[in-house]
Order: sequence, then structure tokens, then C-alpha cells
Amino acid sequence: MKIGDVVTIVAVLMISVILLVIPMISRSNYADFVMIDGEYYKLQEDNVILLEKNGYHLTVVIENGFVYVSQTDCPDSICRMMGDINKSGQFIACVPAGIYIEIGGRRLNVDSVAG
Amino acid sequence: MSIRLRVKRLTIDSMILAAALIFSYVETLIPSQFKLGLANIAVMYAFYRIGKIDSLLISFSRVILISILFGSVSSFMFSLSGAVFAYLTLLISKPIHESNRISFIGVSVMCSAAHNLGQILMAMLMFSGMAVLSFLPWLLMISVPTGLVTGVVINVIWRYDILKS
Repeated sequence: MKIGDVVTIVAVLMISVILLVIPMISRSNYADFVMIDGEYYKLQEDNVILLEKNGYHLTVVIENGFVYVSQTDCPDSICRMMGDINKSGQFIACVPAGIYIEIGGRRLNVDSVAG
Repeated sequence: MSIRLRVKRLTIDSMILAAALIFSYVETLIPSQFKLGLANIAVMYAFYRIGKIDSLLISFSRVILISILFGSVSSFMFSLSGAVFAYLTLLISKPIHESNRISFIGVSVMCSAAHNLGQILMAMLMFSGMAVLSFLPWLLMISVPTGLVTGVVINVIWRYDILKS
């Protein structure tokens, strides 16, 4: 284990953390709604959404302003790392199911939220 | 080169390719779209033990064979992209490795990160959107343990290397 190894590992981890934090900083207060698989839901309203896509079942829960996947039969490891989100720009995605969940980002260009 | 040396080179490269195929096969059993890049163990070993061209051939052959046997067109594109990026980092890191400031572990981590970056970039091209970019931090984090495992394996192989003659 040489000095270059440590530098490399630290650099990669730092870059990944920075990339993770950037969307949170740039839009930190703009957290109104969450987009779950193309449908928009209000973050303030607690909700349980059952999704089925590509043969995979996901249970998405909105609770106290947090969004998380409470149950899934999706085998992908990335899916599990996402945890619970509540800030604008954060997202959860399940690649096998093709489901994308994101909180109130600017790029979604929403005029109004139904419901 | 004499016929004997050519046959020897072909045989050794083929054995390394077979090892790469086994690593890749194990990866097909893992149900994720994004691959870990375990085959890099074989490619990296070939890069340092055999040569640049041989390792490149092994890498590409591995990508093509695995895609034909176990994969789809999209997995071929991901695999190819990852392999290209990983090989480029091998080339770039060679001088750094030779200056003895970095061991196989560091090179491995860089290759793993590059491999994942390559896959993400290809996914961005194929799914034409910036959304995939959001996976990058997670994949980069995964690339550290993956690279560590690969690097440690290479360190062990290097010490007990039977091809070192």
C-alpha cells in the first residue's frame, strides 16, 4: 500500500461525495413535490404508492416530507443504497424496473401539481 | 518471432482470456445493469506481465465473447465503453506505477472508477438524458471496494506468479 493508493482512494471518494452534494446545495429550499415514475405527488401529503413495472413491485412511501422505498423485489444493489430522500434534486431509481423518483427539481419544468 | 514463441504467446494469452471470461461470467450472475469490472484482474495482469497489445486484445475479445454468449446489444455497448476507459487508465497510470508511488491497488481503483464512468457515459448516450449522471457518485463509491479487491488479488497473483521466469 503506497502513498499513491491512499491518494487515489481519497480522491475518488471525495469526488463522489462532491457530486452527491452539488444538487442538494443548488436547490436546497425548492422541495415541494416528488416525481414518482412520471406522476407528481405533494411532499407534504403522506402517501403510499404501489408501483409495478417490468415485473418488479415497488412500494414507495411519502412520510413527513421523506420519500423512501419501503418494499421491493428489485434485485439491483444500487436500488438499496439510495435510502430515504427529502431534498430537492435527490433521487431514487430502480434500473431493472425502469422507475425514477426525484424530488422537486428545476429540470422537471412543472407548471402545476395535481392533487 | 519464432513459431515456438508465437505459440507460447497465443497459449498464455488464451489462458488469461479464459480467466477473464470466467470473471465476466460470474458478473452476469449479479443482477445489475452496471458491472463491477472483475475481468480487469485478468486484463491488468496481462498488461503488466505480458504486454500492452496482448492485454488490449484480451480485453476486447472478452467483451465480444461475453456479449455474444451471455449479453445483449446494450450490455455489449456498456461493456465496451467500460473496457475502453479501463484500458486507457491502465495506459495513463503506467508511468505513475513505474515511479513506484502507486501499487496495483491504486491502479485498480482508478481502473474500476474509469470502468464505471465509461458505463455511465455510454448510458447517457443510449438513454439520451442527464438523469443517468445521478448514478455517478454511487458507482464511484462502489468502485473503491471493487478496485481494492481487484488490486489485492493482483498483488497476491504477482507474488506467486508462475509466469515470472
